[in-house]
Parts: sequence; C-alpha cells; structure tokens
Amino acid sequence: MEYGKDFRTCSVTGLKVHLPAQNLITINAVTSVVFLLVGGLMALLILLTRWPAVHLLPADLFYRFLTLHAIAMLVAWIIFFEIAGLYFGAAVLLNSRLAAPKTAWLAYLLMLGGAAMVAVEILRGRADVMFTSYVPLQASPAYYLGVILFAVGALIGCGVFFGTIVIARSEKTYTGSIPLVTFGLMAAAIIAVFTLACGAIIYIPTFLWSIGIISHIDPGIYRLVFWGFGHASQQINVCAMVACWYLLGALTVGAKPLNEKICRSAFVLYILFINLASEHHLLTDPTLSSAHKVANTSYFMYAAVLASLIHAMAIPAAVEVAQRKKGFTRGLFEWLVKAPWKEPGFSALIFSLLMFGFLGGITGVVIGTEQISIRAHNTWMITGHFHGTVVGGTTLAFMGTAYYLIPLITRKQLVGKSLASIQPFVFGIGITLLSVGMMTAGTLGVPRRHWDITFADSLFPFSFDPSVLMFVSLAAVGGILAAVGGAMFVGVSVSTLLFGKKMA
Amino acid sequence: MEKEKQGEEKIPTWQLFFDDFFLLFLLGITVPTIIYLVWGLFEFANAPIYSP
Amino acid sequence: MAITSPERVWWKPADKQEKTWITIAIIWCVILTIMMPLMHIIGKQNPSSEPLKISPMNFGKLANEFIDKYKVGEEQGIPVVHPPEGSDVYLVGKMWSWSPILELEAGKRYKLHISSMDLMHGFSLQPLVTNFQILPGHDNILNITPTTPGVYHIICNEFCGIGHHTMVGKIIVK
Repeated sequence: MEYGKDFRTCSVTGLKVHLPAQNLITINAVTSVVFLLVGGLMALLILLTRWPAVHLLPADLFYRFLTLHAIAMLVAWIIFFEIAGLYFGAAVLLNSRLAAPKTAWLAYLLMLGGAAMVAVEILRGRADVMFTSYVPLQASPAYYLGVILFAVGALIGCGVFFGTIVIARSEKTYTGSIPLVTFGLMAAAIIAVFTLACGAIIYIPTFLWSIGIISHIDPGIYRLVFWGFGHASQQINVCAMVACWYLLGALTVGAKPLNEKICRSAFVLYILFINLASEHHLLTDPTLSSAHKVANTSYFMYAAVLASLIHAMAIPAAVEVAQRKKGFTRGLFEWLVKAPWKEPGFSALIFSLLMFGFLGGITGVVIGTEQISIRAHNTWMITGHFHGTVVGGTTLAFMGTAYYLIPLITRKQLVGKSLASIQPFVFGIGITLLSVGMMTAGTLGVPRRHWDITFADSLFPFSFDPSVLMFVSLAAVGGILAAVGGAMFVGVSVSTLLFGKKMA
Repeated sequence: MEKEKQGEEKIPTWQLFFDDFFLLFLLGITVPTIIYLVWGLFEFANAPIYSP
Repeated sequence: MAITSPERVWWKPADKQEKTWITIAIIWCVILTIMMPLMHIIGKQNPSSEPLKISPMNFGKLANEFIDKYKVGEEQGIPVVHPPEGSDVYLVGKMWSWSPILELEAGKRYKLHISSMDLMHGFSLQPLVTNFQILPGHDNILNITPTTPGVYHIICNEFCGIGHHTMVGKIIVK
C-alpha cells in the first residue's frame, strides 16, 4: 500500500485523491473538451448548410464535416470524458490508487492517436463515409485503423477501471458495497466492453477489406455488428449519464438515493438488456426476421425501459426528499422552486433528465417499433431523437458534472461562474428547439444526411410541403443557440484550466 | 438505521449478487451476444440465396 | 449518499410510493411488450418477412427482364412499366436513380422487390413517408397494396455518395 506521498486529501470532500489518477482524469477531460469544440464547430457549419436560407457549405464539404461532427462527438468527446469519469468513480470515490497508471497513459495515447488519425483522414477527404461507414462505402485503411486504435485504448481504460475496483476492494479502501455512482459507472464499463468487442468484430475485417485481404463484406452482417457497437456505445452514455445524475444530485442538494436496492436493480437491468436496443436500426432491413426484431426491441428492450422509468422516479424523488429535509415544505413545489437553480450542476441535472426522458427516451421507444420505424427510418426524426438523448441528455449531464469535476480535480476555482449558471439554460433551450424542429420535419419526410431538400439537381422535381421549412428553420435557430451554449461551456472550462485561481 | 454488529446480520443473497462484478460482467456480455449478435448472424447465415 | 458507500445491508424493501410507481411502470412495459407482436399480427404494416440474398448482378438481370416485359414508356431516360396485379415488381436503386418508374393500380396487390446495384440506399416514399433500408446483395421483399391514386416520389435517405441528394424516383398509382 503506497499511501502518503502519492495522494492528497481533497479539502472539499475529504476524499483521498491519487495524484497519478488526478493527472489522468485531467488529461482525458481536457481532451474531451477539445473534441467537443471540434465537433461543435462542425455542427454549426452543417447546420447552416441544412438551413436552406443559408446553405453554407458545398455538398462535398457538407458530407465530410457531417462525418467529422459525428465522430468527434459520439466517439471522441463522449468517450474521453467517460474515461475521465471512470477513473474518478473508481479511484477518487473509492479512496484508492489507480491501477496501473502507466497502462492508463498508454490507453490515453492510443485513444488520442486513433482519434487524430480518424480526424485527419476525414479532413483529407479519404473517409466521406459518415459515422456509420456502411459497406460497400469504403474509407482509407488509416481511417479504420484509427478507429481500431481508439477502441483498443478505450478498452484498456475500462480494464484499468475494473482493475482499480479490484485493488480498492482487496486493499480495503472502502467498506461494504461500492457507492451507487461507481456502480452506475461499472454498468457503463461492462456495456463498453460489449460495445468495443462488437467494434473489433466489425472494424478489423472492414480494415482488412480496405487493404484487399478480405474480398467482400456482407452489408447486412455489417449493419448487425456495427450497431452492436454503434448503439451500445449510446447505452454506455445512458449509464454514465444516470451515474452523473446521482452525482449531481448529491453534490448540489445532498440528495440520497431513497432505496439503493431499487437504483442498483435498475442498473442491472441496463447491464442485461439495454444493448438489445441496437435492433432499432435494423427494423426496416431485409433478411432479418420479424421474430429477431420483435424479440430484441420488445420483450427484452422494455426491461431496460423499465430501468429508465425507475431512475426517472428515483432521482427527482431523492432531490425532493433532500430539499424537504432542508425545510422547503410549503405547498407541492416549494422544494423545486427554491432549489439551487443558479448552480449549473442542478439546472444541468434537471434539464438533462427532462430532455433525455421526454425528447429522447420516449421518442426512441416509440420509433423503435416495426411499424413506426417504417415511418421514421432515416428521416430527421431519428436525428432529432438522438440529439435529445445524447446531446440534451448525456452531453448536458457531462457538462454539469465538469463544472464540479474540474475544480475538484485540478483545484482551480471556476472562472466565469455567472456564465456557467446560465449555460445549461441556453444549451437546454437550444437543444430542445433543435430536437423538436428536427423531429417534426422528419415526420413530414425530411431525410437525414442530405445536402439539398429542395432537390434542385434531381432528375424529377420534388419538394416537401412548405411547412417543412418552418421546422427546419426552427431546428437551425435551436442549433445556433445550442452552439452558443456549447461555446459557453468550452469557454468556462478552458478559462478555468488556464486561468483558474489555485485553491487549497 | 439498524445496528451494525459485525457479522450479525446476514447479507442478502441478491445484494451479494449485485456486488459480484465478474458475474454481472459475464451476464452483461453473454445476454446481448446471444440474443442480438449470435441469433442475427445465424439468420444471415441461413437466409436463402437466389440462384437462376 | 450516492457518492459514498451505502450502509452494510442495503437490500431493503421499497417504500409504498416506490412500489406503486414500479408497479405502474411494469404494467406499462408489459402493455408495450404485448403491443409489438400484436401490431405485427393485426396491423398489416410490417417490414420484410421474406429473406433472400441475391447478388447485384442477378438482381439486375431480373429487373431488366421485368422492365422488358412490362415497359409502356419512358420519362427522362427512366423506363416506365405497368406490371399486372399479383406479379413480382422490381425496383433498382443505384447511384443515383431509382428505376424503373412503376405504374400500379389502386386496390391491387403486388410483390415488390427492392435492391441496390452498388451501395446502400434509403427507399423513402413521399409524401407517405414510408422508409426501407436497401442493401446490395439482399432483396427487400414487400407485399404492397396501393390504396390512393396519385403520383408519388421516392427520395434516397441513406448517404450514397456525392449525388445522394439528387436521387429521386417515381411511382404512379392509377
């Protein structure tokens, strides 16, 4: 047991912070914000292109930047931040040393190198294939290699997380069961292993195909395995986001889970069943049977929906109980009205919960049925749905968490607290408008991944109902507001890292 | 809050199950692998192929 | 709290309010679970249930035979075909067109076969907003009965290269 020189004691929480863990959390979190900036810039450019009034980029750059936007956000920003969260949950929350810090650095370098390779290949125009890179569309070998390196790095990071929990247990740095937040992150890490395994199963053969060693990859099988990677990665995000909700509840109002058994059961349901949601992408595909589709998206996936419904009650209930204990007992809602809305972590928690639940989650369950998928598949309804979940839900929850994580870990005082206070509002309203605009336009037929919905260069003229324009414009306005909100977050984070006053 | 006498109250079996990360890991990998991946691959492998 | 280890034994019965919520949630999920297979059986609007793997070359041959047999005209270089009721109807997606233009009759059943000659495409029928994934090497077989006469357009909503957004086809229902 090497305590003492490698640790400091946090003056705020009293937790022991392993210095190598601190450095790794910091570097992964900083890198995630850099990719958020890249992805956010791309978001603005493609948004201004889809807005017919502006139609900013030419077609080739639009499809290119759309690819980069998705990779930078879905893969780089989110997973780098999650790795930082995993190390926090395992090392800091358990008062433990991080397992194998040198290995964790290797993981970081693999992820960074892989992400850089992918970004470079995309910008060089050698990977205009979208995030999904559906075969027979082919990117350069370096693109696939970059993704593989990133995935290997992330997998190693998960290994470090599990190893840390094992060490913490054997060195008895905590007693009893691990805290709920760490349990939620563990659920995320288990799902991550399934995700990355599917990623390996699909990206390695595809890489070999891109260099000519494998002659053919069946597109149907590609889609099946890819989405085992692609949607499962979103389920990592769900678990990590819910873990953040519990964390933010605790930090902002002192919320305590009403019943640990119930919250943990919900996470176990996620572990077992949430990956089956991957089927949603395949509902209108040929060849796969309806039995496979219905069994995966119905019987089994709804068990995971049950878990979400449990968290949807447990967290607000815990917040309400904590607030009532503080004395806010007047009427039905004083506990909510008098809640610390100026704390960015609290407003982020509430908006993230509401947006994930109502904008993203419910629509996801709705369009994840055979018949409604026929109406929604590949339209902007899908895009609106996942901006509700991943951006409104996960990203905002991560942003809220970062406002506490950065000062706690780097011991630098937050710069721009007043900006941080309103940032969740700006971002939340922006994403709500974006998501609603996209979903409405999508139900009217507007396709995703499409450069020109006026079909100016088509063989046969076609145009959508004119009302479509209103919703596309609404999405654009929402997106611009969200970009401002994103910039505010990046501004506060970077300023804190560079100029924050050192605390005790 | 109950009194915590060392080893006095038996830890419920379900709680022990939830604390067993390895078991949760195994189930979390196996269940989607079989229900989603293996079953799906099986269907693709057995789909009829057109021949003229 | 959620950031600290819970008490030694945390496997405890739930509160009445929590039990109520969870019961409601379980009932709701059971309803959803029953709805999906039920809608499949009684809804009569389902994705393909006839699997068939077919190479683009063979699919192209079948499509050309189909076009030759039932061609009634041409529009902008795309053949227009009028197949009889109950027949196998072929639609080819390729960079960047949908061919042929189908002339169908309202109230009549057809077996639609859709596949791709090259990349993945997204069959998206407007203004009905009916969407199916089209894969090269796989036949998306759908039993359809057009109900309302009119001119319908097919756009592509799966990225298929630089001409993706110009890909528009037609189905005419008489």
